[in-house]
Amino acid sequence: MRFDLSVIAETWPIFVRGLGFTILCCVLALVLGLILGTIVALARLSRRGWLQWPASVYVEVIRDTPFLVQAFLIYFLLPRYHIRLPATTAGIIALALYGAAAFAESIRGAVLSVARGQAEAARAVGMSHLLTMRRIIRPQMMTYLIPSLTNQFIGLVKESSVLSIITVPELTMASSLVLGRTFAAVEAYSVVAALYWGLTLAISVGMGALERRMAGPLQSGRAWAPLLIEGRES
Amino acid sequence: MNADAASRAPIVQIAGLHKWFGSLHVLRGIDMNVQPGEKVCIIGPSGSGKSTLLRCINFLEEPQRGTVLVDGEPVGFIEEPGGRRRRDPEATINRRRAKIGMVFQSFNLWTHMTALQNLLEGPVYVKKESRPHAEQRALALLRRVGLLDKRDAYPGQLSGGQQQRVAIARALAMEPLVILFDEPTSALDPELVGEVLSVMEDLARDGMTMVIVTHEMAFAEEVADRVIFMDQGVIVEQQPAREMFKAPQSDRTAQFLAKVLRRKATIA
Repeated sequence: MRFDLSVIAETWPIFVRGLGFTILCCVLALVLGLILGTIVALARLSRRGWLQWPASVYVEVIRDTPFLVQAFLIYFLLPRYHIRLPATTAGIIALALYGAAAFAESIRGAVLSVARGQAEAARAVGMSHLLTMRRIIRPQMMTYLIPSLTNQFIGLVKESSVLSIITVPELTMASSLVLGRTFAAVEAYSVVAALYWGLTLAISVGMGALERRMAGPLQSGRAWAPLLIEGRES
Repeated sequence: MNADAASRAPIVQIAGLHKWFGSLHVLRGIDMNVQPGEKVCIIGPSGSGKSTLLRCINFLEEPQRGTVLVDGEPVGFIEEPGGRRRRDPEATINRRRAKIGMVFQSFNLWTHMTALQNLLEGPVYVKKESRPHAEQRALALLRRVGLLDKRDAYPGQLSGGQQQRVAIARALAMEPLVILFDEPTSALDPELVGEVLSVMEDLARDGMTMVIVTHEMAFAEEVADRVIFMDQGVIVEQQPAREMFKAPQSDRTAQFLAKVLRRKATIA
């Protein structure tokens, strides 16, 4: 059997459509997941127990169960409550809920990476928790946040292939369709792999550019300040 | 007459203060007052609870028992008639903190802001002052600590001594009733200590109320109205500075002073 990419010449519209759905699902899940993830992270960082523990339970449950099972649950659970959603919508919701847990952990980690003294100085002048987050922590956490979010975004894109199993017509599903028509399994999956790789590469490059832009004026303060302080604190 | 009475009321009143870290009893019943304009230095071996006491005054640490009043108002907790304590709402705590300046051992200047921005942040975002108004005062304060030319420098571009002087100016920018200094020179190279101490001396001459946790005995003797010696979570002794260093009353104080002063002597 030889590697024959000519099948692609006939089936490429299927891949394009699949790629479109993958991008749609990922972009929407990413935006929704970031919003929800920020809320979850703030709740986990709160000192109020009734905010903290539901957020912690949410993160633990999502992170410690397979995404495939979560997707199935949402896909089959919603109709039971007479919520009828197209597969793609259910898939986006599942992916967003999954992403939110991962993003929340990245955000929380970045907040905690900003030296404790920074928030303490803010509290000492009378800043509220939210003002401290907005004015002091958020501008400083980006250096820590962007690399870790990049990994999470890439994870989300890869995990989105699972949505094919709940019949979302995304990229992995497209390869199955092509397979059904042409039996060219290796060719179909090679194309799909290349497309996924292209997507994740685009994320890496984009986030890298964002990181460099953010670094600008902050870097002068960031680069040396810890060096001056570290090791002398008792 | 009212103004007179008010000026005689203590700025800081601490009564029966206890603090535990887990099972570790760090503060074991502290009572102390600070009068307006008074400079109080707290000395003692490390682990004696000095910094914790200071941090209880602006509620960065939450004491489990006892009261702290600043300007006559309780900080952090309200004692109900039944003796039960209720935590103040966050907004009330923040309002109290805005009146209490703090200078940290590790400066804690906000690293993503210039020196000037560090001074504007509190007045503009907490006290909601207009920016031009706040800026005018901020620039005057930077001049006062000798760093007007560094107004646009980020903390990372300043020496430790310069950072601490900016941090003192940042505290002053809030026009506090009292400033708490938590070992302000301990993180500095020896040759940078002097510039920070001279800024503090300048504040002291100006009548600022100051509570200073320090290991700089010469400075304490020079500037303090009163020196408090703490050990193992209690105030062992408090005296006017001269008496404390010449004739300490407790053996523990005498031992501690002998040790730190001898160490200083051998270094010199």
